[in-house]
Amino acid sequence: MSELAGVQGIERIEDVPLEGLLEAVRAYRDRNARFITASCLDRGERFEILYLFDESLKTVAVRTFLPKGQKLPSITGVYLCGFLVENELQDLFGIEVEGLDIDYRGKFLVTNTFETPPLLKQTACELQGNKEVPS
Amino acid sequence: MSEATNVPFGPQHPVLPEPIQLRISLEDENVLQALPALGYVHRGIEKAGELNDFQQNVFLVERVCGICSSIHALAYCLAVESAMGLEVPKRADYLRVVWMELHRIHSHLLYLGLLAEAFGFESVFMEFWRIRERVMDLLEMTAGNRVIISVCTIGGVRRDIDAEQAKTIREELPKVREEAKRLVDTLLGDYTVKRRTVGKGVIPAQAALELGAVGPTLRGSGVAQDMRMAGYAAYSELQFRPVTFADGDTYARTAVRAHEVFQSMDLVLAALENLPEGELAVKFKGRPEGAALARVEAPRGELIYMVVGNGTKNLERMRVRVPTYANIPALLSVLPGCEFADVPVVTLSIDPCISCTER
Repeated sequence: MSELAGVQGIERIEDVPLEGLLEAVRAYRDRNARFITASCLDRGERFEILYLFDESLKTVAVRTFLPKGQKLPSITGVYLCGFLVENELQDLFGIEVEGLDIDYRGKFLVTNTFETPPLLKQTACELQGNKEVPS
Repeated sequence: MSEATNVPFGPQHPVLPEPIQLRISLEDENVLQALPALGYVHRGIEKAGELNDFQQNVFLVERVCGICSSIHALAYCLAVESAMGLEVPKRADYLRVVWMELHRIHSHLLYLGLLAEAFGFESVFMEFWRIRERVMDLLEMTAGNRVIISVCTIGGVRRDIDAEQAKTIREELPKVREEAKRLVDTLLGDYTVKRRTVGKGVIPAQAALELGAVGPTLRGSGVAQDMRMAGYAAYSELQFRPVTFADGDTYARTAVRAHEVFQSMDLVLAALENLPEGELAVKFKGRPEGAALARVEAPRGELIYMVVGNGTKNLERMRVRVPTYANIPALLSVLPGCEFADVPVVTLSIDPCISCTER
């Protein structure tokens, strides 16, 4: 599965390797950017993760790729408010986040009844969408 | 030093109409720490957004929230329209403003009533909700429904507002304004209300930014940031200026919402005044390919939808970031140091919507 070529509405996407993630995020904090959220896509062998920031109403992003099975460094040492979305990444994608300040250990939103993280592509659900939408 | 006592605040609590828990550590009456417990009613709507036809998702996302449902639909439609390169007719842009601002008015009136109820001001609570009904009536008159109005569609709007309906809105809003002003003056000028809100839960501007706060929570700390300034729909043509208050406390956040009620009325009237003739929606073919992000201003703050299309009926990803989610860290930062008796009012001051949060 290919990565995003770009996102309409995001002014700039800065690609950083996993080991450079915290430094890149820290640079945004130093510029007084507001952390918006992170968004993750399951790309088969790896995850594509976008960290979104607001700079004077413009959306900018840092993107990194995380091979499945590796740990993701937590940004909570830079932006504490990232703890909610990082716990969500643990729950919904099964990503292990390392150094998370407030860690719910994969039980933030989901319960023990989930066998696989629900937002992984391998989590099979019946596709809907064969019905016509009335105009 | 006495030992800390842990008190569960919620998931069932009189000031929380929806389930969320704050696990609060107390020393005597003072809060030492608060941690949230979410997930009681998480619905997996992001996953459902991958399973539905992208057009059916409009109806799905409206059900994320019962208060700002139409604004969810707008944000989703803006994202899909951006991914598909669709240009929405001008009339649809103006009509979207009318309905979104009516939603903001009823949402803020709901908040003002709930806040009054939180400290026992029940007559004001009922009065706010009484006039809120008149705004709900306007929604019902124009859209056929009170809450989930289903006016937004990909490419425009599904319904029009005719001259007779516009006249009714123009006649009704000044009456609502007059009654709301009387109530707002009572609420914000009351000695007891001030004792319960001024200086409570103070979020300094820099902290609000660092903690990612949005909406009236951010503007109540003096930061002039409102996604309507970005000019989506017809806001760029309506001379919008954000409402801010500098003190960062519960009173300031409430004052922002109270003033936004009147500002939204002005926006509705201006949009109706300048409503251009034309089509309601642009016809389109094809399916979304590529990714797009839309940020809009919901009553509680910035709402974000990101869609990733792959040329099929089903989206590859639908990401939703709701305002309450962004405001929880700011709330957690101000509760330590508060008295336990202030926790309900301070919690309510971010106007938490758990329905949104548990999307």
